[in-house]
Amino acid sequence: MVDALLLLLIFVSSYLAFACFALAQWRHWHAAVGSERLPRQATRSLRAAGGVLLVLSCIVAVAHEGIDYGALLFCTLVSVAALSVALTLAWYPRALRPLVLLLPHGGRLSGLE
Amino acid sequence: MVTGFRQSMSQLHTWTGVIVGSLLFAIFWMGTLSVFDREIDRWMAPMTRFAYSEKSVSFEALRATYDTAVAERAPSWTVLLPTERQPVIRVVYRGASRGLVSSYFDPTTGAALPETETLAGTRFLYPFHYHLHLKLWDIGEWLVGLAAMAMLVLCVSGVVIHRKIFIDFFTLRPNKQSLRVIFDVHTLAGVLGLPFYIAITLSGLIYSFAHFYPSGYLAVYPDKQAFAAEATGSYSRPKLKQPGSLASLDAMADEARLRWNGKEPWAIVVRHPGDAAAFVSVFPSFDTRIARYAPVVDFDAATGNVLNARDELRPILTAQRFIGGMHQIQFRHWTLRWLYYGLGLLGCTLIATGLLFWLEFRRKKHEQMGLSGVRIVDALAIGSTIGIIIATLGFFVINRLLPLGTRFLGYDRASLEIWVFFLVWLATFGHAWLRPRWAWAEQCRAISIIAVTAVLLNWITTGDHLARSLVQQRLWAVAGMDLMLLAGAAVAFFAAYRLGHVEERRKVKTPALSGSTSHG
Repeated sequence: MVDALLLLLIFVSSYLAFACFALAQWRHWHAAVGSERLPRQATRSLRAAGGVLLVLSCIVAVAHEGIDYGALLFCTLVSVAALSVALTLAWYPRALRPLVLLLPHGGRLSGLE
Repeated sequence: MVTGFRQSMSQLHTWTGVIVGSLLFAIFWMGTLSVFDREIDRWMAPMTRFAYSEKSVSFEALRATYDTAVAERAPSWTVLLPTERQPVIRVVYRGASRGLVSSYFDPTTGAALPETETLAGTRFLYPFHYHLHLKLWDIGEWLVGLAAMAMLVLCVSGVVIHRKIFIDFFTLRPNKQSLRVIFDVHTLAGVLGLPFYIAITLSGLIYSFAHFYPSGYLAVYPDKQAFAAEATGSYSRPKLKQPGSLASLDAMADEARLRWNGKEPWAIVVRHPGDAAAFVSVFPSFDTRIARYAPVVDFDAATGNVLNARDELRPILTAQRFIGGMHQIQFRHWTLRWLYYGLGLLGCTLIATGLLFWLEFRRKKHEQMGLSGVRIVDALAIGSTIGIIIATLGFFVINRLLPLGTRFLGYDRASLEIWVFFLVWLATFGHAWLRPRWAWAEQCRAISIIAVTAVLLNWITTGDHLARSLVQQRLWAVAGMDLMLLAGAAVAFFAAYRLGHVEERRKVKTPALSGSTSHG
């Protein structure tokens, strides 16, 4: 059970990391949020959040599975996570909109406020 | 006219892809299936669908097969105890009269199971992945090595020619025109799976380094055996050509267990069975770590005295075994197993869409120029991608249709299955040649029909339908196989629908095109 939850954590954090990286690009930001303007500040925060989440995912993988299995698991899982983000953006980009709310002034940026 | 670095890399990528794409697809497809080779074995050999238990009969219970191996003058005799993925005992030796004998035994009673009469996953699909079933002069292995080098060239040149690797990192536009979608899928699968493709290709090459680069060790050692003996520190001694006896295997296993602080022995190999110089090597299971290697204790067969014991390999060989183990995935880790399988399928998608993109792109050009060569390449591409999938499914279906003991034209059941594989494969090339326009969609439809047939046949011939196999743990391998077949059928059905749609549109356009040329 703990194993499954940690695995889920590794996957979800790398998925969110790539979702942040994607939202930091105007094309995907526009598709997900619907706003024409992507402030420079938002790009920077999204990239930073993505980086932190990816490192977190790597640390959890290595800490839980050991350096050999952990590294292998992380390297293969990130491909699947990035692919899942690409598929989300292809069919339902709006699903990523709530992520923006976590940014400073996110509500204003996404027009939800 | 080649201008500039990127342009030349683009040409390199295109032509390398066109030439080795078909071969690469076969290797990637079979490699992907090999990830679940033992599960495929359970599906294709129903007599081996046992519940796994750590307790099994002792090595000594299999002595009768040792005596047969001695009579058959086998160079070695191997026993593998049950594992989670192969819950039966397996005995392997190469007999003088029967060739390679691989037989299975009931893990709790030690009784011989009926002959499986199929090479299934571990002995057909998996070896196909590295020698293509072409054993003459090792042609198959060399072709695979060349294809692997070409794959590395494709990976690097693909990155160079990708103009907007970060901007298009997540780009997939399913609603654009078909050529654009094919290209998006190709680049997306290429970029996102890149670490896996490079790692799996390079590790495959490093694993077989001794085969591809023999000059390295031949510069120092007289032959491969001498090199392997020193590199691995494995024990060996020549035959005495005098009859010898075999002491208790269980006593040797107990001694090994004691030396390993309670770790269970899993495999026993006797070399020179029946000879006075026969010796017994005992190994524990090596599925607990990535590096594919285990300690070993060697015993004198007649007395049971310890001759040699090895715990660790030299560092450089440990590195090689780690890289090899990473490729072969013999370790126990279900999450990684599924990830390898998924990424392997992504690799197949990458290769197939690469070929398809080139073809669609060329077709337009060729139609304008009135050339017919595209038809040959079209048939080759369809046969080598969708065709090999259909052939594999045909292999599964014929396995469920042929009763045990079938012989036809002098071929036994295992050979007949392989004949069907190759004949079906050949037929897909023929079909693609005869119906170039419709073959993609029709063969996709064929995949969905044959895959569902395979699931139904498994139900009819063994009674292990999904409602039963999903609830019984001993049948999970069968359930997994059935579910994958059904998922594949669904994907192929969807693909056939999409491809049929493209054809409809093309059909509307084509008469206008030919009409204009005939008037012009």
